[in-house]
Amino acid sequence: MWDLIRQIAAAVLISGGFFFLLVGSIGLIRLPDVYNRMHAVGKCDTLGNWLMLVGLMLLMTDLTSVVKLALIFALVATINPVITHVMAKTAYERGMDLVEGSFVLNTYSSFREEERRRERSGS
Amino acid sequence: MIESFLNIVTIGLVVVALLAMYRALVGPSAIDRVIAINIITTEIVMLILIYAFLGDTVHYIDVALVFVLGTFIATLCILKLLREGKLI
Repeated sequence: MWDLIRQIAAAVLISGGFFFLLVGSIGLIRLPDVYNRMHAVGKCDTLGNWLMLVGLMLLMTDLTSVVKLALIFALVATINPVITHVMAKTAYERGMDLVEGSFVLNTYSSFREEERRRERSGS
Repeated sequence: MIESFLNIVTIGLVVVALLAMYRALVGPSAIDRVIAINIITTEIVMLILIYAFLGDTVHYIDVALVFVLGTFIATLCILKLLREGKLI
């Protein structure tokens, strides 16, 4: 009885994680822009990973395996935001095009343009 | 019951990885390809973990742990190469 409840809870969690991974991948294909694709992947990937890892933690009976899965959980929680941040910074500094109809609403971009102009006039 | 469910999830993860592979093939810029490869490695980690449960070989969890760390370093190296033009 207890085993069946545990397996059903794990199946629900793994299905949720698979749903989020599928949505992230569809967003990776459908969205028009680098930043939009990064937005789709950066959150859906992390959440899908977490749900699937928690579901597998419920399935594993060994304490060592559960602790290793928790370690992978913590690694994903730290690695994915770092990777997404560095990718967004790289795309911004390479001056990737925004999709048509979008607009920039920060002061950082004007700062960067001013800095580039100063570099160009200085050299 | 849970084994057949995990087999279906395995097939679904392969399909999702193929969807991401489409973006890695036709992506217009290099950053798109880096994003697609990143999501493919995520699904490979999940496949290794599911196989570790299905085949009852718990040592494969260590393989998944090392794979996460390796892909982190690889993606950082690719992005550093894109940003600075050289690796070291």
